[in-house]
Amino acid sequence: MHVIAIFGILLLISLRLVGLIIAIEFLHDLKESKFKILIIGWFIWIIAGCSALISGIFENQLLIDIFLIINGITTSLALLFVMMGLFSYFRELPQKTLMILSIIFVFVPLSAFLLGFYSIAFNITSLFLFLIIAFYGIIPLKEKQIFKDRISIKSYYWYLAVVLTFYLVTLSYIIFVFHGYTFGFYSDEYSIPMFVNYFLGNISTFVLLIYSIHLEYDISKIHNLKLKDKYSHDLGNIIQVIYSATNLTSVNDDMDEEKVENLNLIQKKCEEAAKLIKDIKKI
Amino acid sequence: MATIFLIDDDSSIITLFDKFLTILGHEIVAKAYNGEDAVKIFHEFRKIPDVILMDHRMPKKDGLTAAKEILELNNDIKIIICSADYSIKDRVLALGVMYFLEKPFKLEKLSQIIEKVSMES
Repeated sequence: MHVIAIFGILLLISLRLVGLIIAIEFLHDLKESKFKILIIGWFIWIIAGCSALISGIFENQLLIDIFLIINGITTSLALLFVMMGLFSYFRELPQKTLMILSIIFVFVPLSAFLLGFYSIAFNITSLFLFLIIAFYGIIPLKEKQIFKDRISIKSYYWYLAVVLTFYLVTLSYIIFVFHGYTFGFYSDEYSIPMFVNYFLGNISTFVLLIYSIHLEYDISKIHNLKLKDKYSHDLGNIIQVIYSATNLTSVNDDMDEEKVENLNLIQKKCEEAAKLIKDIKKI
Repeated sequence: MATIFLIDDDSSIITLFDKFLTILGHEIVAKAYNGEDAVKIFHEFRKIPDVILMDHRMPKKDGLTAAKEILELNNDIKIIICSADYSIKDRVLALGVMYFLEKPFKLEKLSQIIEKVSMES
């Protein structure tokens, strides 16, 4: 295997490992099921990288093809899980669709491969990959308002960057395939397409990682702001009741000096608390 | 003295405002504990109250939506929104609500605002 391919794949595996660690950390901290989907996705993507690397060890063409088809299947499956996991931030996760697509993504190319149609099997996995990229590329056109309302416009632009880099990977892949290069670009004479392919692949994974961190950061920030609003509102209501009750008591009753003093003290503290709430709202 | 419609999901606040405003001589014509009921009750009024005193964060329908629907039914109605949620102030006033009163406030302030609002034509 060419040194560019080895280096490119190792870098990809490292980036995917970072993605996996981040997803595990998010799951540990936030206990949300969408992170399980992301963990599965990043884990399968690491397997994809490893299988590509292993395929380079063998001389036997059948063994190379077996690991290449594993690489093709796991890459499309991993991207499906990662994108579905990220998609679930602003839409409910379609679990049945995910299950059906997973079965199709595994069994259709595998069947073609087992029947001896190697080239078709590789092309099917590439087609699935392109379909995922095309589908998630349409989202920004449809969901801009949802991004703006629920998350942030910054996350929207990062998403556009993810889509753009994925489109570049796809485009370069298609161009090279039309020029007669075969799946994987692992041969020694393929140094230019190999470099372009791994360079863009690493860039897209890196941007995807930044996007997922940005997304989680924005969501946490919005969640904290909502909590701040809720608590300051509820506290404001409680103080309103105490404030009103003491106001009303001082209007109603003929009280001795000590009671008036105590009521004034409560009212003074209510005023201080009201000021404190205003300060909290400003944070 | 004014006729007032009180809307707040916190029953203690309704009770205290009711007592205080009654002492001052105002008449509480109706009470509602969420925005949806508030709009329903407003539909049924034969005589429109002088002032509506409304909270914002309420179940079923929030104050902003309820105020919008009530103002669509009667553009002349004087609504005071009292809420601890200051961020809605501009949106509330843009709707045509007369006054935004930020919670917590002194009851004395409430009586001044009601007087001021009910005197405005």
